[in-house]
This record gives sequence, C-alpha cells and structure tokens, in this order.
Amino acid sequence: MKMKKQMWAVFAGGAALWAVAAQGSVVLNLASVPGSEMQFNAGSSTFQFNVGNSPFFPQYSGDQWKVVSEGTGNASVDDIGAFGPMATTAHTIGWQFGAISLFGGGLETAPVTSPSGTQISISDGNNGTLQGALNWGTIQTVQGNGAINASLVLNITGITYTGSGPLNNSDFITLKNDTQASMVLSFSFAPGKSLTDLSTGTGTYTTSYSGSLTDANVPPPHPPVPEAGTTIAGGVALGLVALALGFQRRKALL
Amino acid sequence: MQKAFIKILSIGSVLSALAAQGGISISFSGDANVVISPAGPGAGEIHFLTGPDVTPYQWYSSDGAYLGSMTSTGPNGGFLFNNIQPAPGGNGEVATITTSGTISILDQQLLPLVGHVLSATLDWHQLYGGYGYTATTGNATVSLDVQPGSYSGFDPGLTYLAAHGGYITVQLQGTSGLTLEQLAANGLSTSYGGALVSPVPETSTTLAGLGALGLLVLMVVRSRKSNSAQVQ
Repeated sequence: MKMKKQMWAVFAGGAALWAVAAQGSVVLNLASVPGSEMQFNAGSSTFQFNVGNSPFFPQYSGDQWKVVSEGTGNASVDDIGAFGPMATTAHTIGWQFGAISLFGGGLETAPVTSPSGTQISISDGNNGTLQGALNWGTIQTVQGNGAINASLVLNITGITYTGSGPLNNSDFITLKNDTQASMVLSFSFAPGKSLTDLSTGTGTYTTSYSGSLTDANVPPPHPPVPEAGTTIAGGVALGLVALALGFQRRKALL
Repeated sequence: MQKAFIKILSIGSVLSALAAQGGISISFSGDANVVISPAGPGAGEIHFLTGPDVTPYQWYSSDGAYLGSMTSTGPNGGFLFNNIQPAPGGNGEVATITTSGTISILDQQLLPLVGHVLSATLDWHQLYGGYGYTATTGNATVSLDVQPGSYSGFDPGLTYLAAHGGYITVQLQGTSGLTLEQLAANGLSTSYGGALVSPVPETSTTLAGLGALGLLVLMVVRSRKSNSAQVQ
C-alpha cells in the first residue's frame, strides 16, 4: 500500500515536472543568405528585406534567410538548410515603422506594420512548406557598451505546414500545432546607427541580419514577463509537485 | 615606350592611393552557430563554427563577396572570457576576452581566377552583455580588435584594413535577458551576425584624398600638354 502511494506521488511529481518542461519547445536559428540585406530607406521610416542576388551564391537567389540550426543544441539534420522567401511582397513593399519612442539608456522603439498579407514561408527541403501570417512587430535600437544593438520582433500567427510522410520536419509540426510563434531579427551597423539615424536624411542603409524563430510555448528570455496562461499552467504544475511532496511528508510523519 | 609605362604606373599608384582612402565596413552573417562553452567558474569559451556553405570559413558578408573566419590561438581554438564585472554606469556587464586569434578574409571578387586572403591578428578585447537585467536591453556583443595585417589583393577596402586595422562587433542572437554568468555557466549555441569596420579619420582622409586628386589632375594636365607639344 505504502509502495503504491509512493509510486502515485512520484508519478504526480513527474507529470507536473513534465508539464513545466513541455512549455519549452522549438527554437530555429536564422541567418540572412548571402546577398539578402535588410535595407532602411531613410526619410520614409520604412525598411525592406532584399532577396539574395549574390553571383557567388546562386543557390540562394531569390531567398532571404536560412535556418542555421535549432537553438536548443539538439539540431536534427532535416532542419539544416531549410530556407525560403520570408514573404512574397516584403522585398518590394517597405515595412513601415511609426513614431519613435525614446527611453533612458539610449533605447529607441517604434511599432512596425508589415505589408498587407505578408507571410513567412520556410521550405523544409522535402517539398514541405511552413507558412504563417506576420501581423505586427516592434523595432528597437539601444546603445549598449559594445555597440548599438538593434532588433525587430515579429508576431507569427496561423501557422500551417504541408509536410508529410517519413521526411516531414518534427519541429515544423510542433510549430503548426502551436499555430503561433515569435521571430526576433537582430542587425547591426558599424559604426552603429540608432532608429532616429535610420529614419532621417536621404539614401539607404543596408546590413545583414540574423535571428531566431521561437515556438509560442518557449518563454522569451527577455523581457521576463510570462503570459497569464503560462503563469497559471506553471503554477498548477508546481502546486501539484508541492501537493505530492506534502502528502509524502505527512505520511512519513504519521 | 618607357615613359608611357612609367606614366601608367604613376597613374595606377595615384588611383590605388585614392582607393585606399575608402576604409571598409562589412556586415556579415554566420554560416553556422556560435557556441559558448563553460570554462570554469565565471569563465567561458566562444567558438565560431564552420557551416555548410562556406567551409573552412565561418561567415559571409551581406553581399556574398567576402568570406571570413575568426579562430583563437587558445588551447581549444575558442576565445576565452572571464573576469565578469558590472559595466561602468550599471549598463549591463563586461567580461575580458583573454585569448588573441587570427582573422582571415577571402576576397572572392576575382574567383575563380584567384582569391586573395587578408590575414591579421585579433587582439583580445571584451564581451558585453547582461542586458535585460539593467536599464539596457539587447544581445550580448563580442568586441574584437583587428590589428594591421597582410593582403596582396586589389580590393581597396581590404587594402585599407590591412594597413590600418579595425574592429569587429558580433551580436549573439537570443542572449538578451541572460547574464554573462549564465552564459558562462550554462553555455549556449545560437546564430550571430556582426560588422567589421576600419574607419577613416575624416580630416586626414579629406586632406589625403584632395592631395591624391590634385596629383592626378596635375598628371593629366601635364600629359595633355606633352601630347599637344608632340603633335605641333
């Protein structure tokens, strides 16, 4: 009897810990392909993602970025080399950013509106394609000690994946099941440029970019503000662990 | 014939002097991940991995014209960092990179005929981070100094970099909100992008540029005079 209750306690604790662990999932690390640049059109407060056109890398002609690896350290072979155009219209229509808000520490942020109907599209290399809608975002630059850090955060919803069969991509399936994700692109200029610099004057500024696409179930490293649903799920799971341990302890005392 | 040859050489050297005034600014993306491995208490090691497209190089410039790699002279081939301290003004953290290394940049523009490689020493410098726990947000940034090095090609920007040196900043993706202690203790594998720059001091550039232009104009005028004299 005692053995059975101990097993129950272990099972309950294990299930609760699994629930906490299951909140972490897929992270895809990205890098712009050779010839693809993020281009800021000064004066109009717009930017665009030019497609790859490098004569040295014809294999990436027409693409914008590739999946370098998964960020969790357990990259599977079928992910590497996945690539695709980020959006069908993004390279011809500028993404608009709004009024710049200035904060302490040299932080500048602005809301971003993507071109209407913009979609993210990633090929899995096996005739399968992951797609999702890009709705809104935020762009920011900040004066760090090493350089001006610049990033663009995008929200992806309505994820679909057409892959099937034994060669389908398990990470893409996870993303499809969660239906939403977030994408952070980082870029830098040398010498550094603030958002104000990038939106004033004339001409264009171009640079490479890298980033990550993160499953909606992975808590973002920053800012460390968990969503309400995550907090409740985590709280329930931790409560279960506490309950199981308390039950064990009480039994031992008796 | 000899005079014409000397003239061509002179014009060539003036033109290359003009080109060398340009400085260089390259933005690049990693072809594979950068890996941070724990290296003892409060210390870590940064490795830039080679990837599928540009091996044995590690990154490519945004236009695809340059390929680069950064390797350390340390025992494991990585850049060691330690001595993590609060950054001045409470603006994140800073760690010292204690190993020097080498940077190689392949200029692909004359390939497949010939590829010229710039080679230079990377001096130890600093790793900035810890953003997100302070007033500042942003990714951890590796900062490395490029010393003057060697280059025998024709690219004016690389010629300038080899002559004057410069610096590199590399942003480590997804590190905002992580302290440098966490990075050192837990390690991380992530994508990266960065920029390499060899800035031109504005005053000296203008003066040198004007001087070189003046010399070129003088040579053209003299050459025209000489030609018209020969015709007469």
